[in-house]
Amino acid sequence: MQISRRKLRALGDLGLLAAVAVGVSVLFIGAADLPAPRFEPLGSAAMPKILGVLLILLSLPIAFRAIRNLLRRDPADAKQEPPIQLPHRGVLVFGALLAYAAALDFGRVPFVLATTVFVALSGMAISGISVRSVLIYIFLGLGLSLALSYIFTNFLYVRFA
Amino acid sequence: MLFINGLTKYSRGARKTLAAAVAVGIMGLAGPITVESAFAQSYPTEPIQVIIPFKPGGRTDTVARLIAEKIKEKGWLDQPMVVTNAPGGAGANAVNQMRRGDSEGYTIVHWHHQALIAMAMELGDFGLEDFKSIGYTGGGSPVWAVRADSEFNTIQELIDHLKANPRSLVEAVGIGSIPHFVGGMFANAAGFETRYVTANSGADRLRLLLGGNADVALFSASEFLAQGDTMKALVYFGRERLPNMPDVPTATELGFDVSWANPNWWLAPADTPDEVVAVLAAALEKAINDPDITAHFVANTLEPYWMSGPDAMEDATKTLAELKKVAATIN
Amino acid sequence: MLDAFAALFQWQNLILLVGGTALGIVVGAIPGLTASMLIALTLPLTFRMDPVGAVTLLIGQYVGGISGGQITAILLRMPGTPASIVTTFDGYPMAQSDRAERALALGITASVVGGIISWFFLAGMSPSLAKFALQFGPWEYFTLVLMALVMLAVLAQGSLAKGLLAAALGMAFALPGIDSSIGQARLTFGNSALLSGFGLLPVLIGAFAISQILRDASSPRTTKKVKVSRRKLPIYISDIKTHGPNMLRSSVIGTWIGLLPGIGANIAALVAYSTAKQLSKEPEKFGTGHEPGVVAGESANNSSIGGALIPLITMGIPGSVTEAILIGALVIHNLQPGPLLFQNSPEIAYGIIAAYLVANFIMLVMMWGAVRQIAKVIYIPKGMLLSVILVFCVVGSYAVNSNFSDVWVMIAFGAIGLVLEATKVPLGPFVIGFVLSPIAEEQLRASLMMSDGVWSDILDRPYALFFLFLALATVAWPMIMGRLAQKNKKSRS
Repeated sequence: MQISRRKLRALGDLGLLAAVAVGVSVLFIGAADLPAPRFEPLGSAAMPKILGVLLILLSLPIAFRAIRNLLRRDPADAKQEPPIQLPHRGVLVFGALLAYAAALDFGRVPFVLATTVFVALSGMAISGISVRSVLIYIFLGLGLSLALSYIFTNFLYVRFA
Repeated sequence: MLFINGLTKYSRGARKTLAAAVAVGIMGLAGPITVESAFAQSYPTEPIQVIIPFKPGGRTDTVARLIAEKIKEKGWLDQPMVVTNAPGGAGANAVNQMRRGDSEGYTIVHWHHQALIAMAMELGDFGLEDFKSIGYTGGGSPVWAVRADSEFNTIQELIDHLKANPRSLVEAVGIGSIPHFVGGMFANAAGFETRYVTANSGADRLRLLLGGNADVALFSASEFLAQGDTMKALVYFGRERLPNMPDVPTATELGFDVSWANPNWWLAPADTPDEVVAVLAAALEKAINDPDITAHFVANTLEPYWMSGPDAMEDATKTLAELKKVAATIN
Repeated sequence: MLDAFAALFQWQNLILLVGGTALGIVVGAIPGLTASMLIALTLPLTFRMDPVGAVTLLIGQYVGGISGGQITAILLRMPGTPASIVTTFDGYPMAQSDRAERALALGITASVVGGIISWFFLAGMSPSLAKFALQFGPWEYFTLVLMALVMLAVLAQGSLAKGLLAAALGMAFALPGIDSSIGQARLTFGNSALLSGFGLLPVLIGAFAISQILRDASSPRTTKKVKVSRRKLPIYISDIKTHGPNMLRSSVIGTWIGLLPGIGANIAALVAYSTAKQLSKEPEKFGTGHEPGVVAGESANNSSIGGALIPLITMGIPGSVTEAILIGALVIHNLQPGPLLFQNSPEIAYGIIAAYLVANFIMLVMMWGAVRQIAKVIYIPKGMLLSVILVFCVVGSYAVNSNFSDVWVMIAFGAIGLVLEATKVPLGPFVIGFVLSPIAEEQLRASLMMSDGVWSDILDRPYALFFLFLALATVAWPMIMGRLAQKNKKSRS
């Protein structure tokens, strides 16, 4: 079944609010363990609680509108809207980014190697795969990572390990 | 050469060995890896990373960089000391980074007694048992100061006023930081109480005191001296009077058993081999006795001295016990 | 003072200043790298220089870095520094509608004008200004930041509820870490990596740069070509009339907010922007590519540097991390900044003042000359541009604290930013709420500590009351304007 953009957006809003609700409960759970005010009347727990209440209050009108949009009938022309594309290239790049950070952090893969592979992967994810682009991105990644690691280790004393 | 160094470093743990093997496999450079021989060679064979738990520019950072520069210049170690900053989390960030590194003397920490306060407050997940003390390279003590136009000219006047009117004066401190603990120890000893206002850096304390939003605050002696005649120092927390301000009495000579000497403390992970620590200590001791370093210390109202690792650890253990007592009373 | 300028024009110092400014612009423009990081990392290099050279280099980087931040804010909607978040509001829509060069030209001009105006305050009356700024205590800081937070509501585009939700969410993300008022852990759930909280830089680049990159990666491969013309740069004499008052006002706002240690360029840009919007005859145009928006933000964030240098030089009180590092550079040369600096080493104090002015002109010349080349960034194939920026983001967020958890925080906030954008929750208020709420909370609690819990102490604080009044006026103003507009309509019909 085709779903209209407005309903999709309303579902998105409700999803966001669900996440906010989880966050608010984390705030309240965390605030319960905080020490009682000692140096001034507010204490450590006041701000989390205030923000928790604030987030709930601000969520209400958004939730109200989203539910109303979900229940209302769509206008007849809604079906003509172009379908929403899934951002699959963005997902690929995000996956590459996660792998890159994990390789550096947990795998302790050398910086130059990890960066070259990452630039090649994400570059191809964005612009498409061809022999020429593979070579270009490998050179780009190699050049960039060599330059960065030279600057960081020799001048700025930052170590990637 | 650099690559081999890297590899030996990777093979210092099972997980790391795996990573190294993967790395080597990918690069197609798998060859005979000489792991053990790298250590038999004389330490150090690669740069030594010195982690500073603060942002660049402060005292701990500056002293570490000066000493590292001097050691490199004189060649007291075969490899340079490389200073990196890992501020935040009351030192937890720096400790985590130390744990990430090795315990062969290539990852060490330069800290001061804020470390003990973090332990006394049970902030991070670290304690003295995580460290092996390399030694103190000097240190400094703070003063308690008021504005130049303050009605108080001696510490006794201030104490009398506070005893007559409890909590009538505002002290600029960062709760849970050195000024809070030192002020708290002094207040406990003299039997008075102040009100607080949050000031988490020396800059904040200056701003609040000079702007009239606080009445008294703790400063390093050099911060105080740089302000010229805008402030009056009431009491110095060193064990003896400071030559740069001969008229300011110490707390001990006034009969209060309070002193605070904040050292430049060099620390290694607890399982670092003793011979490695000895090499580092020897280089640091030479550095702190160097005339250039001594001159910088004196100019910045720090005392240059060397205290060996075990002595420093003993001193720190005692101080920590004291701080725990204070933490119970001021928190 | 003249000696200081003369010293500055010795070739070594001039080279350092030009180099520092250039480096600052480049680093400031790269998303993921910021001026304060650059300065922190170059500090060790200054140890072997003479002190005048060291501060000259650092000042150049400081000025260049804040100004460079606008480039990617305008072209790619990735603010290079937190101070240029506001610039994305109107700069990016301008670039999207073929006015990239115009936006850059205005931004650069505004930056320089802001710099020069604040320089006059710095050179002319700094000691008395610094004394004035010092009177501001916790109550004043709290009310000022509260005012800025209220102004966020004014900035909200689209749904007001979502704008406010964004700000509140940002504020909530600022909570974990050590509660700076009592020095104890809060909402860290025993995780020591959380003790330092979420860093500003990882959050900023995550929410803006990473989420923008992921979105751009998914958009069609053939981008709409943004035209970069061959004409002269689009800045006209008539701009003096249209933008002059705004520049002047925003620069003065920037200087005065910059004066207050610990407040800084972010708040300056925000306050100047919303003031411009409030006073505008067409406030609805802000956020859609309206020129005064770019002008206000860029004049204010640059002029706040000049303001912040005032307490630094006259009192030795740094206003930001960057300036604390500047002090470190002096200390290493055995110079203690403070009121005695002018007496003991006037060449340093005046050197900083002179370097600040000259750095602004160097920045103007460089950015002006390069602006057309800079605008061509948009032509770089997307695959290359985005991959390289991603590497910079990872490297940059790691290098601030040499800490990998910052990289993970950045990636997580990239995902959060994507979700927020998808649900039309604006990112600007989110990040600004994140920046402001810790200051507001700490200062309010400091006020109450100081007053022994008595709220009414605020009544003795005229400046605090003034800010509170401004905050209320900010809320009331759109309503009053709305009423007036309705009345006008009625009387006409």
